[in-house]
Amino acid sequence: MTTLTKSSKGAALKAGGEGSGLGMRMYRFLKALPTWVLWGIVILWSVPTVGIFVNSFRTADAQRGTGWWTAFTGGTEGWTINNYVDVLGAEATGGVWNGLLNSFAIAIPATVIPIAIAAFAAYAFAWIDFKGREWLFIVTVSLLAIPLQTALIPLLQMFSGGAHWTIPGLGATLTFIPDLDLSGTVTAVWLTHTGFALPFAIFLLHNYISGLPKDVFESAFIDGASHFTIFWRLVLPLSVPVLAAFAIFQFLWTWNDYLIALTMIGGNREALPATVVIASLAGEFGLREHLLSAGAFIQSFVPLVVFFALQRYFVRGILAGSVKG
Amino acid sequence: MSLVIPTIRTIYLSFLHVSNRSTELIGLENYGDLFTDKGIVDLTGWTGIFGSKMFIFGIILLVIGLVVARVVGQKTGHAMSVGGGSGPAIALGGFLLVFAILANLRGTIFNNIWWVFTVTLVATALGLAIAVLADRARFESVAKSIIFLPMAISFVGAAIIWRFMYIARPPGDEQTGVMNALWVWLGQASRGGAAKIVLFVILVLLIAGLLYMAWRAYRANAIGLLAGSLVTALPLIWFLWRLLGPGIGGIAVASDGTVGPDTVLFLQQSPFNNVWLMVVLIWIQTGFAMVIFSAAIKGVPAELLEAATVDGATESQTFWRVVIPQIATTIGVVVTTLIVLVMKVFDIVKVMTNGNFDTQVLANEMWQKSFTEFDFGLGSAVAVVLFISVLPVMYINIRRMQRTAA
Repeated sequence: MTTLTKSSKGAALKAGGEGSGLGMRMYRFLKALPTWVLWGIVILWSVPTVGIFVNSFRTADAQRGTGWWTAFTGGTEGWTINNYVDVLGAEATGGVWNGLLNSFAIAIPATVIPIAIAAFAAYAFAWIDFKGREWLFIVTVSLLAIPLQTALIPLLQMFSGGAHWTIPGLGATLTFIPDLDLSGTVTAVWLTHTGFALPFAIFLLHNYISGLPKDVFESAFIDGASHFTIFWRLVLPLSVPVLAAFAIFQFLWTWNDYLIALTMIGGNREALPATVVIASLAGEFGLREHLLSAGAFIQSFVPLVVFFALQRYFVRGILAGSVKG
Repeated sequence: MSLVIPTIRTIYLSFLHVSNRSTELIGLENYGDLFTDKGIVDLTGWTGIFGSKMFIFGIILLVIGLVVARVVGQKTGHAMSVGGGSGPAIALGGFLLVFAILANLRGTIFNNIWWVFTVTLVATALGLAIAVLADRARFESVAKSIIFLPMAISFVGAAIIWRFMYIARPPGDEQTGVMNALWVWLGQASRGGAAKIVLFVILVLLIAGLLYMAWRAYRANAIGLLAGSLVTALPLIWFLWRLLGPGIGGIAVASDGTVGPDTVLFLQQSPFNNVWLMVVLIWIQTGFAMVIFSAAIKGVPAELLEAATVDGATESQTFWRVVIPQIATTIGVVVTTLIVLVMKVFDIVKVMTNGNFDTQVLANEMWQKSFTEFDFGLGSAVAVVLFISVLPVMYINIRRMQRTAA
């Protein structure tokens, strides 16, 4: 905001009189100010990331003793890659490697399954006439409003004990979902992610698929194509942009998720994804603090690669996903 | 469907008292417990509001802004005319006022409101400012990529990154966190040496520039600009006075009179440790706001801008009267999205302070009540409170999405 008032000052000064040398010089300075402010902000924004990146290559003593900005003046002293070796290594030193594998085990099914289901559902909502279509779609979309937190406890109870209902007065118990003993597994995590992704995925894909030109579908029908053929040969190829955007968003969301993994896996250290592993490294104050920066960088590495490689889709995905509950 | 049943069950659970042995229906007791808990609603600090510098400064700004608006308005025959000088002053004054009030009312719920208020407004304003600054600047895409980059990093990663920024070593040692290193450096600088002279010169130049501008504005009869530059000069003058007088930055005077370095425990000193946590989320979300605004600003029809220029509008007039109304819907999108997101903030608080030191928020409260104290009833009650508070905003959001989709 300050910069905006600055530019208004520049404009007002110009109106005030351009004559005198000092005034003119100041006006020119003020006019260049927005650019300086912009690059100031950019530098400010990158300081935290640069700092942790530099620190991840420094020994524990160096990290503890001096600031990262002094690293470049001290020569080769204090540089190391052992942090990465340690943090990726065994449970005792870091265990992030195992965490990364778990993150993949969560993020891949939690991305693929919602896309598969949602694409069919979105097609059905958009192009198949069935009873109660409108109504069902409105319900699906309003599910977007439910925050994660609201469903956590019952979901955990369901994963650890199934879902039962004792009929009042009869004493008989109905079992809707048997006890599959899923709590503490990655399956529970990606199942939860799938559940939460579906309303959003259906909504997003439906918007896109229902916007496809009608004539294409009509001519396909006239040529005798079945719904399945249309879906497979027409809709999917045409929907690649929106599928990519959603896939990227959903992959990052599940990769970076902390809350669901922490809740569903809890104490089972073997199954924890990378976010929870590095967070617990951070929780033990001081002991392995020198590994934290490397751990955080490894965890962020996959999203950063996606970010730099697929920047356009990435932005589109993030923007599309911003409304997710 | 998979979400409706758990939600209903959560609402049902929130009426229960759940312990290891038994579950009993207790009606609204959980909610009663919530709202009478000192940790959740704590109004005892309200007298502190009136003593805080921010509150006073906010009032001063508001008064100045309103007076300027009145004076400018009288000239044009309106009751009030909010313009270049008075608008920012009123906005900033109002912001500081609410900020100061929320900083003094403690407890999880007010803390959460404080988060929503601060992060949403700052991230939106900063995002908009950066989008404007970057528009048509050289290397625009590079600048925007760097600002957007934190969006790719997980909240946990961001929390760890900022822990290194805030870290405080024992006062005598060398500081390894950027923030404390700067703070201690400032303290040393204000005790003398070349750095103090440099700081002094920079400050004097800035203040002189602002006063010169105020004088020019006075001559040109531009009241708004006059007020704006005077108000901007005030904190700088205060800063200069601190630098020359009592000193500023990380210094502590020991009982024997010796002066040594002092650090700030950014994550422990309440209530402003909350602000330092908010900074992390602002750091992440500003990029999101920026990208959306950037696209919206580029979408403003060129004819409109040309027409404004032809009519003799200044750059700032074009911005406030043409661009802002054009992107009003987009601002709505960003604000509502951020409100929902901040309302549910969890990871940052959990990783950085775990709700200690007076930094509790609703989502973490819910988590702790349910999964460390295993009081599912109380935890569900918090979850329902959270659900109800995001519901109106989500409703607006979904309605708008459906309209744009249709």
